[in-house]
Amino acid sequence: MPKVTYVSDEGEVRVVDSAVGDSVMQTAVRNGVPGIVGECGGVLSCATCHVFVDEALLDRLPPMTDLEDEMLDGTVVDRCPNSRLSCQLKMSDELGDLRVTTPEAQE
Amino acid sequence: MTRPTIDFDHQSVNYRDNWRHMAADFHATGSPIAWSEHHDGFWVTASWDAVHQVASDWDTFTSVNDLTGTENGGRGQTIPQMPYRLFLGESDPPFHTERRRLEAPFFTPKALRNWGPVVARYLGEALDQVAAKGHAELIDDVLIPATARTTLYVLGYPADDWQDAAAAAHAGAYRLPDEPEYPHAEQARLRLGFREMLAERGKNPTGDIISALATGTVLGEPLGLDAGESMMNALVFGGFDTTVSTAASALIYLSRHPEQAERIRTDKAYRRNAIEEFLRFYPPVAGLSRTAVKDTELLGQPIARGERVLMWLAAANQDPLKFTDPGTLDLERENARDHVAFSAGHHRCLGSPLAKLELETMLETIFTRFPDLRIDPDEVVGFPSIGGVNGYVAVPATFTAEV
Repeated sequence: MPKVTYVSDEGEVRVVDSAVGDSVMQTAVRNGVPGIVGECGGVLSCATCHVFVDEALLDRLPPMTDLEDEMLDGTVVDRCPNSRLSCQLKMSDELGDLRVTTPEAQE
Repeated sequence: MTRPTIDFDHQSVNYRDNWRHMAADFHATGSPIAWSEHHDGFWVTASWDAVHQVASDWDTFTSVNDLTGTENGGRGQTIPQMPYRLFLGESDPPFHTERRRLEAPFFTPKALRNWGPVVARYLGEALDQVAAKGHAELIDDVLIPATARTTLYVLGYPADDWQDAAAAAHAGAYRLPDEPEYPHAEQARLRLGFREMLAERGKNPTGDIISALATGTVLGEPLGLDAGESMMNALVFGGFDTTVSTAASALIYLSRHPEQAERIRTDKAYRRNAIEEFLRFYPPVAGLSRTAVKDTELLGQPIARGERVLMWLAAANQDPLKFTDPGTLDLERENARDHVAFSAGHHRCLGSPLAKLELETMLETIFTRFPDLRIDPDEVVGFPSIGGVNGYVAVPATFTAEV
């Protein structure tokens, strides 16, 4: 079972087991991890599940779609090169464990 | 197999007056899905899980309103089927996704930072008009002007021309299209104005939603005037009475619970959760529909291709499998924000962040300026019938006048 490590903007760390097929956003919401909202439920219409992905893991992630790219322009904390919307990061055994940092605010 | 039936008409006076009991009874059956013979027949479900399933599986449950009979036979998002197609709401991916992306940038968290001062200004101006009088008709004097001007401003429409749009939207929210009072002429005039504005912004784009629609493309083709007009129409008609309805319900409740009103005014975390609970408990829209495009099953009940399913959103918010003691309004409810007042899935209300911002601003500001706001429940007048929205005609209030 892959694990997601969530680091808050203040450095607080939470490690959560993720079900294969769940997104990093869903894993956070189901486990009460603060710092991720996921207002729209994962259909790329709200930009409230912004995360910064550990640089070393970036290349392993599925590529970003144009729609995710556009929505990332609307996050309340400005995007960085390692920004993703966590509803688009589906956990799998192939992908393995992930480590993400959540921004100071989502909305 | 005999199918379970229910005497259910979400547009009836009986529904308006008894829907909470109807929802509780339906959940008590243990299998809240049944067939209603009203409006040419449709399935209705009150299950929170089933609502999510139907809303997410667009491949089985289409939103398309196939008025020309040239697509998949879908009968749209409302029961009864509407003769005017909503090009965004009544479409499926990939068209839906492409149309939505034209509007989505205007409702992101970053965009909302721009709208905050707009919301505050229009509400403030409406309150200024009544503050010295010590009494107000909250619907017509405060809530409609504030929401109408905000919505139009966000759209890029001249916000001071709000009266016509508000009149057409307000009557259209509760009148049924076959009633003589339905504002057909006003709506037609408004839509003509939308088309003219789209044509003009196509030539001179100004960075607003109308310009985005006027210059936008969908799958490589221009969005077009019909879809543009329809999407403006949906923003205008979706943005007024829905927010007004929930705001009025919350104000009526809080005027009778001054301790909670005081916390609303002073405690931001409490206020934001309370707004989610008000949306759960007082959802403006009863339900939205889909059409099955293949034989399928829902909660174990076979659904045949071509049959419609009404997602009874208001009752899904009362699902005891999801919400503990659902019939109680609990402003500190932990999972309040799991409500489906904005629907769910791909078609979940794009304007929901703006609606919540408006609700938050209204509750905070009104109870700050008029802390002793009183609303006599006997003076409140609900909509005589329910078209799209369960709301109010009149909510008169009194308060200590500002000097």
